Amino acid sequence: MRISTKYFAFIRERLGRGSEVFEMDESSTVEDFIQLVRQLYGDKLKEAFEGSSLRPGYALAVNGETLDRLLWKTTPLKEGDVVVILPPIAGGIT
Amino acid sequence: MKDELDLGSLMKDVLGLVSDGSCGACAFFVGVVKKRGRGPVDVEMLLMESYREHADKALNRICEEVRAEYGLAFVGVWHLVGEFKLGEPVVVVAAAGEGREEVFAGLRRAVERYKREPALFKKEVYVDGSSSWIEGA
Repeated sequence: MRISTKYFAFIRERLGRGSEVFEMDESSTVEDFIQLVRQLYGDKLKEAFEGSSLRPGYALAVNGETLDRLLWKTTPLKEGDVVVILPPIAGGIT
Repeated sequence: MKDELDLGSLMKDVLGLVSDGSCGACAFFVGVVKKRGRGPVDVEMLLMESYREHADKALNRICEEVRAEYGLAFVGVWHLVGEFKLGEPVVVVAAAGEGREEVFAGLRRAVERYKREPALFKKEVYVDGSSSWIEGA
């Protein structure tokens, strides 16, 4: 199945692209997506990972909604999902 | 490239939404780009980037929940993306209700949640040409 992702902030700059589409197994979970990104780009995104997972402070959104970290391993993906790694959010300026 | 807001029109629009006599207070917060950032040298410019699908949902949720929590008539957040110079506005938050106490409290709550929840990312560009993506509100 096809899973889309978008890249933001330093991740977008580091990878030199704003989006990508992955072909993943039908049984894949959100955690599998994270591991795929780590496998492909872990060297370029060292500060995003701690051990085998995303560093605390990073979040992950599925179809525009943040998904609780506790659910990453048990949440299945489906065809057409958009999964996005969110660097630590810094919306405020004041 | 950047979004722009006509602050005068926005204020008039908000006041128009709460002009039925039920509201005695309407307050606005405007966040603007400041010189002092997280780095050792002054900020020259701010780049705001958004994952719009996430940010829009989060902002709608903030507005609805704060409005209900404080019993307000209206809460709104307008955030801008793009490149901004010092002094330029990048966010406006508005709250309106019957009295000033709940309006000020709700406005503050909406601002604090705005700083943490929507997928907005900011990059400070400094006067010496260096830059840094900023983590944490």
